[in-house]
Amino acid sequence: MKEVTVDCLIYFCAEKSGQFSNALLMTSPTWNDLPPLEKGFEELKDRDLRFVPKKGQVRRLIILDAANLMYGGADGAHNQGRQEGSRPDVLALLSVMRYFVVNDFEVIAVSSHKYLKDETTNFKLGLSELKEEGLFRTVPAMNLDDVMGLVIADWTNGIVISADKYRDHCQAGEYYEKVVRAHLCDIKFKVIPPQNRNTISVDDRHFIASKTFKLIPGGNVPISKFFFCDESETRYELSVERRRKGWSSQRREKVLKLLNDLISSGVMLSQGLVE
Amino acid sequence: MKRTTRELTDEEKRKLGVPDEPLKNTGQSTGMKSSMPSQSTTLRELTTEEKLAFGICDELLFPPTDSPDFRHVLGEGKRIFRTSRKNTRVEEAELTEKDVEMYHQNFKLFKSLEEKRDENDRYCATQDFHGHRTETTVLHKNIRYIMVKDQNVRSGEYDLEKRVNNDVELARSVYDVSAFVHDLFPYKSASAAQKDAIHQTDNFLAESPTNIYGPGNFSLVVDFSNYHFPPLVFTRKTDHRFLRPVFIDACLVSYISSDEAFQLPTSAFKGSYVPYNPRQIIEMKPIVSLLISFIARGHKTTVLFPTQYKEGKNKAGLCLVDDLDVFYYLTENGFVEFIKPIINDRKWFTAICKKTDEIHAVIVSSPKYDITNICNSQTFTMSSKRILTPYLLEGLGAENSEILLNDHLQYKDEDGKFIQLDKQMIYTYPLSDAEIEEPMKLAQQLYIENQIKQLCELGTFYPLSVRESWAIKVFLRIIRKAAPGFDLGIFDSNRLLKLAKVVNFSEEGLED
Repeated sequence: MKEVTVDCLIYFCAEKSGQFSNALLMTSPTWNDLPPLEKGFEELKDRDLRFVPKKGQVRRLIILDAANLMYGGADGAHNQGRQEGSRPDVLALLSVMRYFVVNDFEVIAVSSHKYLKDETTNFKLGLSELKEEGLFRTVPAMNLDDVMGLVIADWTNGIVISADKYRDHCQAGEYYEKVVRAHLCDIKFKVIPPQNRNTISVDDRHFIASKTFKLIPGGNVPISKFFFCDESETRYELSVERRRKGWSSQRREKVLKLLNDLISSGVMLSQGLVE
Repeated sequence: MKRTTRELTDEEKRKLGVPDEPLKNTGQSTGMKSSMPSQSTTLRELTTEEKLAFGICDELLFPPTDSPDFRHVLGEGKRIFRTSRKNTRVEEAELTEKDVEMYHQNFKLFKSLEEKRDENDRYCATQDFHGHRTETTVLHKNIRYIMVKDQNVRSGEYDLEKRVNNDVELARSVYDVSAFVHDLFPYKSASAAQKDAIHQTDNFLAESPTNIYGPGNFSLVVDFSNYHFPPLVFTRKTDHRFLRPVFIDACLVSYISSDEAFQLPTSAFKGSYVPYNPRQIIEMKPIVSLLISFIARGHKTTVLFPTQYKEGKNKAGLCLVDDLDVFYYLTENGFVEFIKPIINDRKWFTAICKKTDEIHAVIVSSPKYDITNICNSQTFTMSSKRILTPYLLEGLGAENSEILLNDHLQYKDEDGKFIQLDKQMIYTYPLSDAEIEEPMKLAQQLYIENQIKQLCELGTFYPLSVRESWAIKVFLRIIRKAAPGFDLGIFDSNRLLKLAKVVNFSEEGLED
């Protein structure tokens, strides 16, 4: 069997010293059977231990700024976000999406039409599949896609995950400033240096972790608080309504299955192993 | 009253100008036409199959019970009607075994038609035809919708209460609003939003003059913009002196919120937007939702439909809107304007733009119709360019989806900086007579008594979303406290007990 080296495998580790939190992805559907990783990774479970809601708390909707994540997670990208010349990497978007879905958040990705065209990304088919499922939303013309993300966040009391600081928009109007303050979460990707990469071998397949990402909510709010909405907050009803209307365990299973499939097939496609 | 051409005598037909010859095959693909037998000459002689093909039916066709469109159209409280073969009287009916049998027969016919249509599609694809696929798919949609009778609604006796009392979700949403408006909820355990709202409404009542509530006064402005939740209320004295009226493009709103399965294949014009379909079934819920949000904002709002929706159903009796009761309510209460029949999207768009520019109104539609889509500082000078686009926020199923309106219009100036269009420019008339004169502006305003009446009635059609619910709550609470003489319709206190029973609350709970 051919050796498959995976570029977009990201390991998970529980937050110990405020270091990087990572999402585990595997290309094999039998990821459940993986042996535990070596010391230094406290819990090899898919769930991030910080996402434990207290009584009455509800998870907020997650809105991914697709363009930003795809550029930010691409090979050769700096941490500051878009980098001219590097091709946007859909697997970065998929992995972040999967991370949140596994932790039982409803996720949508917002973007402009151009990413659905051929040759703009490395896995156009994956984006079309996401669009069919309603996970990748394209925005009508005359609305810039990043503004739309903020508007949806305001409407549903959601969270926008993007490395973009929206400085230009904040200068254009104070509405954006208010939304950004309460709804924006920064994300930083980091490439693991080759000498530090861990390998897992399952059967004949070898998996290598290559990237990690870190979430930094706005306003120095801890992650365990930022991603939930409490009863005492004014906008609680909006989150509750969104949760009731948009997410269920069946939906989560369906979405998770799709994401797992896309990630496995995507990796192979991007490496030219499968036509 | 004779209803079909079959009942007319030959002489009457000649007088009325009904042709006694084969129906023109308008809108059918060439493939379909060739399958029609050529010996039928009049409407009477067409076989059931042919009638189905032309979209005419005088027999009831039930869609399969597990299909999504069945549930979509036959929601709670809707009725099934039947016409008999011999006379075309329409009567209310229960589903009997005979009906089911007839359904199965028709269903087989329908299936065979579907196969023919698919064959035609394949043929069309090989021949590289354009525009045909749109017409053949529309046939499919037509057949699936059943006839709905216009009983009682025509006489203007639309029964809002009955609708609320028959639907628990609706009753719950109305009760929720009523309880807040009449202060019938426990203050101690009030949520943060409720406390905020009470505080704001009390402030508003204390600061605003008492004479703004009488009949003949302008509407109030209940506003979510600038990140307010619960919404703030403003009078018209300050920035909102003269508000612009709003036009809503019904076809587009429905297109945006329609189920994927019903959307037209856009291969006719590859990659383009084809919102306007002459036989589109228009959904009422998103339109009602937008109406509530604009009326709460104080605007006089009108929904624009093409003329063929005037009756709500076409000549064959198939309905063109998904909720006839709501549609008739809207047409009979002045919310709707019909525009001349339009042949294609561009003409429809031109017509609504023209209407908008005449009175410099706000338009809710899509800029995608507009070929010249350049976005610079000059773009937004005309009203018809300042288009607000609705966006569908999907959820689990059609009943859980919402329409979101993005009213942030932006453009980049020469330095590449974003300039946000001022909301005042979008929503209010300039104080000077630059655009239109003051008497015209006055004619386009919404008055407070209408605002109250419209909100009280529109809030009873569908269960309200959180935002709509808060807009109505805040507004009605102010009205109730400041001007106790107004009748709040279903939200009035004397109906609370009845509502509570529907929602299964005990009477003790009300005293809290």
